[in-house]
Amino acid sequence: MKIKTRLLMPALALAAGLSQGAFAAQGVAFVHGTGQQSDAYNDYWTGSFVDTVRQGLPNTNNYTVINCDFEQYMWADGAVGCLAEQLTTFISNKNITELTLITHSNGGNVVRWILSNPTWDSRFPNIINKVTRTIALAPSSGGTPLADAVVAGNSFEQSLGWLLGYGNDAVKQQQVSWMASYNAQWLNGTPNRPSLPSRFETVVGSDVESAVWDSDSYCGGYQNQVALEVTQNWLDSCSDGFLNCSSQSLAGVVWFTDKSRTQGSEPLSHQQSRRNCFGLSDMLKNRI
Amino acid sequence: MIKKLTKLCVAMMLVSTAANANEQTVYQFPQVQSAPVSQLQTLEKDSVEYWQHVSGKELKRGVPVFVNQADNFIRIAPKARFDSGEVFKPHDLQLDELSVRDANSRQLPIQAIVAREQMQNAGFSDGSIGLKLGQVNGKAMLKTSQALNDNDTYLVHVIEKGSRNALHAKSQFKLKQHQQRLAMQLSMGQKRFKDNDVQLTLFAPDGEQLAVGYENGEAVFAYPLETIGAAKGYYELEANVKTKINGQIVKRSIKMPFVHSAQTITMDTAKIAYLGNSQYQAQVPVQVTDAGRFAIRATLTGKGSKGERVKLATVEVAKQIDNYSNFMMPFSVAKTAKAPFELINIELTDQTRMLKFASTQ
Repeated sequence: MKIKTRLLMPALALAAGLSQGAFAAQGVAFVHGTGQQSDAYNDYWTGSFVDTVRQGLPNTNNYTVINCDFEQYMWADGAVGCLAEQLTTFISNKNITELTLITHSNGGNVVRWILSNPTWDSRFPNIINKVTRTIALAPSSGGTPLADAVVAGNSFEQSLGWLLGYGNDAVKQQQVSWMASYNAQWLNGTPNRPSLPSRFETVVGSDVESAVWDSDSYCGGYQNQVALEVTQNWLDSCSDGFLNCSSQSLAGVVWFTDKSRTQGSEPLSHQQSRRNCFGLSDMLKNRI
Repeated sequence: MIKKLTKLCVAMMLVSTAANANEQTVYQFPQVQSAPVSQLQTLEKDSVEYWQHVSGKELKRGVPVFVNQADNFIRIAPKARFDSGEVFKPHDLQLDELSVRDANSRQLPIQAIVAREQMQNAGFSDGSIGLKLGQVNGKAMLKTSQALNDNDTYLVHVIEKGSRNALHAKSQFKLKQHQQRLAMQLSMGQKRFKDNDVQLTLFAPDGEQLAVGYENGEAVFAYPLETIGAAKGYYELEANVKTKINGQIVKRSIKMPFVHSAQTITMDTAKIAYLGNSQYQAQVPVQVTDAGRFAIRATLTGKGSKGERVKLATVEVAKQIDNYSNFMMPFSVAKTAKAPFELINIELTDQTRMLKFASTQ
């Protein structure tokens, strides 16, 4: 009888393991950056990007594209509350047990808010327990001097934002000193702070190419590339045109810096790090 | 009968709502958490830029711009203004009508110009245009020949990337309730600024401008501040300085955020009970000054086999509290330990107003 038990235990453990594997449902959610989205699949990411990445899932239908109002402060109900609702619905509808989040820009901050403040909202614990990894594309973890520049001298107009159409709390929030305060007290995963409950790995964009004769400049939209050169006035030599490399790599661990892995060692500008440029979507497909 | 049923339903809904509102959100961390980092005391920042508002009349007459190096960028943006209870947005600026002249009214070369569309694509969606001066001599006059309204307002924003003349600010981050002075030290290299050198402006989280003065390295508020916490954003102090360095006029602006804080929650001694089966529960009485959603995070400790204190688990609990209440913190513990059990690394959070408080029992 004892022998039988001994034989039975490993078999049961194996069966349990197999069963767990068989029932594990992996999913991926695409979390956009600053802005109010209603069709982020087409407008923010582009369908070809999303459709390529989700091919890396065992079940390619287990994906969702988040559409929220990330013009609000990250902790606002319209921002993180909306994200929590859509993730909860996705987890529930698809019985997701292992969730990968792919974020871009400020989307990384909204996700970090969930991962760092587990009781802020009753939906957060379940989400935290399902998230196994966040791949943060060009996250604005340390803010950007560009946000300071955009906001400079605008206090009066911010108070009339509803009237003028560009009172944007998310931009205010991404000022460098504001993000420093959030990283010191509210967000985890940066140096000298508690670590995040799951892996938060970043892709860092380090440069902008906008030469008219270089076809690579056109990936992601040439107009955007040219505009990004304006913003370099406020940024370090290592930046993606909106964010310094130091900001992008401040939280979590760096998975890679653009040129080290992209096709042709091309840099990823801030626009390009959410598009099908230089093999990025294939790298993500193979990563999830 | 229908009325009675309706009343009953309403009463049931109220009870249900109250029960939900009183429901706790509980999270046990997979690993024991370290002590909360001490509260943020100060913020430091450097600025190599300045901005100022000018009128349409001034722009037509010529506005001095202080640029001392080849790496420069000037942004000009129309800004809204109030007039007779209405908000007016000025005309957009025409790049081809702008010129920059030296002290002798000679036109200075403009190295690059950036149209409104490009600025918009770069995130400046307020009608900004940009230009870069090719030749600099410390003082130039920016002028337009466009027919602007005299009273309209424009923002002139100058950045000198990499300038050695950076304005450094170090300011207090947390202002306690009822205090009306906030430390803010300003320097540029070895240079310290006198009170009269500094123009200070205070903005409330909603953008309203408030009265403030500068005395002995402190911002002094004319009236007590109203908004508590950071949920609606921060208060901001904006400092503007103009000084001479090596014979050249240097102008700089800087903005520093701070939070107006009040102790909105206090706790009493926790009672810890062993429920059996490696389950513990800490009951923490708390009192709040304003209703809202509050949280507590704490680590349960016990005594190890050699009498040492052992950290067992970290739990965070949040709920709506109107005045007095108890947090019930459930701990599921894998390690074995003996009494006495205590909570350490306690952090209280006012989630409604966004304030954090370290606490000891």
